[in-house]
Amino acid sequence: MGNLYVLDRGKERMITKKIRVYGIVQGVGFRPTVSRHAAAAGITGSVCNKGPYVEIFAQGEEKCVKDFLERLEKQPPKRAAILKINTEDVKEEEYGKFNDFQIIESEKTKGEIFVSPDIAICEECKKEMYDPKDRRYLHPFINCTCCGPRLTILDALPYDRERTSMKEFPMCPDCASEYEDPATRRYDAQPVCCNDCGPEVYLTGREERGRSAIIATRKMIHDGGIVAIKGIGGFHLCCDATNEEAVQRLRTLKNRPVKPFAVMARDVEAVKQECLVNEVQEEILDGHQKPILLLEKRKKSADSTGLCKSVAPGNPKVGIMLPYAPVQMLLFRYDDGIQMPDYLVMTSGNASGAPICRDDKEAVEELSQLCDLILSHDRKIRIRADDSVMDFYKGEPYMIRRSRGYAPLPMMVTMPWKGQVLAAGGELKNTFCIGVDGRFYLSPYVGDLEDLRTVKALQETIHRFETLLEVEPEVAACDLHPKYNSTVVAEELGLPVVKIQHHYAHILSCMAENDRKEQVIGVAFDGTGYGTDGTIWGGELLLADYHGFERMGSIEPFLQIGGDISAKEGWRIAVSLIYQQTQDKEQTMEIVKKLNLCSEPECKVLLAMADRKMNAVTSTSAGRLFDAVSAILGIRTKSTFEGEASMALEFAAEAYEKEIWEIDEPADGESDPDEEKKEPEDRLIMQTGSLIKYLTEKKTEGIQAEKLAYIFHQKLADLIICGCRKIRKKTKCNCVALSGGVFQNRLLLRMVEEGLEKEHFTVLRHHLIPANDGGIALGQAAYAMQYIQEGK
Amino acid sequence: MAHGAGGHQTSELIDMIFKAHFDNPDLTADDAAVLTPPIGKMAVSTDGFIVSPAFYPGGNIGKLSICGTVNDLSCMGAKPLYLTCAFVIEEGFPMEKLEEIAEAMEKTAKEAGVRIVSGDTKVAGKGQVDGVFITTTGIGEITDGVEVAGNLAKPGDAIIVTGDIGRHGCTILLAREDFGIDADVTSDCAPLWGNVKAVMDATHELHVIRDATRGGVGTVLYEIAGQSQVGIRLDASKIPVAPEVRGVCGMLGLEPLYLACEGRLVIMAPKEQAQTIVDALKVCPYSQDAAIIGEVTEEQPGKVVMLTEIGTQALLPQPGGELLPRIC
Ligand SMILES: [Fe+3]
Ligand SMILES: [Mg+2]
Ligand SMILES: [Zn+2]
Ligand SMILES: [Zn+2]
Repeated sequence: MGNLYVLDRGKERMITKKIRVYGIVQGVGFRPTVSRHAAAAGITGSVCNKGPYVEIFAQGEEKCVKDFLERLEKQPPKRAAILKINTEDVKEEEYGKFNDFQIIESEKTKGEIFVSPDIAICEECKKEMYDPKDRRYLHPFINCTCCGPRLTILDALPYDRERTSMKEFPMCPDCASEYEDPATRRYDAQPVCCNDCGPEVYLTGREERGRSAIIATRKMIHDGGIVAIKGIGGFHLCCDATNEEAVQRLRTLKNRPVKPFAVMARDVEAVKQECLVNEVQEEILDGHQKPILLLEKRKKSADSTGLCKSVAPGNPKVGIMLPYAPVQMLLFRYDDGIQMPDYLVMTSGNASGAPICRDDKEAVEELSQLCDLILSHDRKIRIRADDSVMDFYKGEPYMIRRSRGYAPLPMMVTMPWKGQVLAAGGELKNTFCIGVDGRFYLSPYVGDLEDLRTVKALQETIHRFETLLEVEPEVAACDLHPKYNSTVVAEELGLPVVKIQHHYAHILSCMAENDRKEQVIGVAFDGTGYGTDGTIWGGELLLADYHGFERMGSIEPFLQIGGDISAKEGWRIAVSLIYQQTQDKEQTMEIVKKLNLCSEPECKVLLAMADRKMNAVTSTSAGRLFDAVSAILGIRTKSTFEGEASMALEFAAEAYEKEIWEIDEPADGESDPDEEKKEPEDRLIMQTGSLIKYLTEKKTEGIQAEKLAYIFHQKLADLIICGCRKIRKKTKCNCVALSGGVFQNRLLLRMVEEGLEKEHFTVLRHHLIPANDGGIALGQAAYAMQYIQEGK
Repeated sequence: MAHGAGGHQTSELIDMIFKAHFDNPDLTADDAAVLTPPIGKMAVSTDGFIVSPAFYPGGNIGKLSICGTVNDLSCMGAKPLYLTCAFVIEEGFPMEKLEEIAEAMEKTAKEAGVRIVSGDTKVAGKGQVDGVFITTTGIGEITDGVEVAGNLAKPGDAIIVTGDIGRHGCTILLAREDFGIDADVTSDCAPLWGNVKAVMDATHELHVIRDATRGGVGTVLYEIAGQSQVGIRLDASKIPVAPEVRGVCGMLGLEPLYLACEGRLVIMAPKEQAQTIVDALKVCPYSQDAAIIGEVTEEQPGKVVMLTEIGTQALLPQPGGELLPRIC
């Protein structure tokens, strides 16, 4: 390089380059930054926001243009996400000579589209907000090019004020001049406003507006009341998280006995008081996306103050986040002299089953019974965005719910795909996905589609996204389950429908997230999904690529009795599994009695149902297996929320692991994982049945539940690893993808991953796409994309 | 008794039982009954009845075979006049049991005000049928100007059931299988002309009357939602279900809305008429527990939405197919 430079020296010539920058380049102060770089590099030209991309003309000496490009790449604006830069030499004759560097107004063009997620309030804005001399002192909507709402206020692209819900608010002269001046932090910041212009907060059905509304809210929370608060992507229900009575009352009103509530803390220090926070976690906690982080609670003395018990009862972790909307900051700190707690419960403001409320009508209808005040504002939310929820695995983010701050950033897959598809996603934790060529836009969290209101939200949001991303999908992808509402939604779109088996979609989503092109051994450990043979699957070993899959193995099939209720009552599965082992009613009843799984009549009914295969389906669901083990070990016989029993099982095992590192192996050699028993199913059967038998025996002998929980994880991991080994032998496939809701269990994930790596497998797992059903739309979309390639 | 030997002799014996019970002036001894035609339009309906077991708490196949056809006629607004019945009986079926069936038929027909005018019995070889099958055909008279049909439901209609649901299905289930459930459930099987008459006397503004038999109320509602292209919204807390039935359903993981009834009507009529109808029903036998359980809407045509007790708005799963768990 140095030599070249010397050679080129002296004969510097003028060049013109046309540069297109793709990615999140709108509303992040991109053009002023470009303009500054141009001045620094000493070039002329122009920059224009084209909607899908920013187009730059750079004219000058070759080395200056090169310098400019380098600056562009290395010092992009803080909140920009550059995904691609295309440069092209053009002739000066064609575009003329540029005498200066100009910022040109937006001009809409078709093409690749990137929509920015919403961005948490930035440091500078925070400072201004608490500066009594600033004209935005205590302004609940303060924002700049680095922060503020994006996706949630957007109607269409390009991102300009008149295409957002800010269009109703004319700017005051001061704001307008900041908005138009490239030298300010608010140049081209679409949601810009101040205390003299823009939206206002108010209490619904009451007089208070602005300042008095905020003070009334703070007072209500301080006094132990519950307030619904409109934020960025929807309403929250909020109360003092240090006030046991207030939290209990919210639990009663929300009909939510034990499921943990999310907490918002005043600042990082407050979080550290309550939780263990490492460096990575601290960075994310205080970063611009502000998800809810699942952090381990600190062990505290009984009389210490802080978070009260009922926030996340019986859970070693708590979901915690920092304020991201200015109005949330104001809840903690204001100039009214009210001493606010350091922690607030911030749970989604929705009626049970319904999506998070986004306007006053919904809030009044659904939340007024659940709270004492509703603090709203008149900036409309166009698209809902629930808080994202992030767990950690080996120090890295491990996404549980990908929504605000992340969606709809696309996943990029380097396949030569062309076309547009829509995937309707799963039934619970629904998200949908729009695929355009190799880019996959996974939507914010929609919710559980058992509720009609959520189904409607899905239909409406699909429609909005199609408009926003300017796509017309060629096919709609959905699950194979005939009774999923998401399947119905897909079918009603009037497009050709492609149905994808649930667990295959899980594996494909893991492949797509890791940009894996070749075949994998997919370990899909999950709740339940509809199998291609009409039975219920969920503990599967699939040989898969984008073209299709083969079911190579599964856990041992059992009878899942009672339909949907069996997913809530693990004891039912436990009785079924024990009966399968004993093949004897008397013996089963005896064991069930010892384990105290259910009453005698309940047991009798279940056995009768098993005999008659009444309301019973054959199932290989790993999620149900976990529920059953949780019941057998006396940890949980029922779940009041999804995953409760299996989570408790994981916590028990982890607690044991912390105490003791060595475990004694099962005494009887019958569960040697390499020993293959009967395989009538024409596939490999992981011998989970004998594992159940072992655990049942040991539990009745009085062995500690935590220890057995740990052994269960260990043995199950062994069975999976052994299964993968056998499949590798047969197929030479050496790459394993781990997906499905069960892999939210980090103990199992670690045991499986480490075990596989020890055997020299390449292991793919999820990172920022949830392993649960929130991720399957990505897999469905990827399949649909491959599907349309084959038709072309 | 030794009438299992010759087919001929058996048939005669059986004929005698039925003749003795069904005796009325219109019952023919010849090849066909000769009847005076009704004044209004005529409704005809036929149904075959197979039920296992043939005897269950609250009734038997004989009572069922009368109620089934009488109720089908009634739902068209037709007063049941005449019935014919055909029996296929398995060889060796106990005579006392047949007698019991005939008695039940006689009693139910009398109650419903319908005459059995023609009958036929066939004896099939052992194993060719299971006990006894009965086919009844009914003729009814439509005198009133009431027009009801499955495609006439309108947004704004109230949805009424005439009593607690799912008892027949639940009874049969428990009688068929020994689940070891100790529940005191009897079938709701009943002839409902009187109830329909009372409703029609109370108001002419009626859109739909259906008896919720096989597939239960849920299936009927889905049928009507489809035929009328309307949405249906139910309020779970308003649906009458006997505690015993609820208990059994909870244990077995079943939805009471999908259990068969044999003595329950689903009525749809303009909201303004709903209370009048319920009041009229409450004074009739078999419908003291009549209740308004929901309404017809414009939203979600073809679908049935249930406002659950915890406040969710669940789409009632479509009837039919396997009971597959949907929870992941
Ligand atoms: Fe799943
Ligand atoms: Mg019929
Ligand atoms: Zn800012
Ligand atoms: Zn202003």
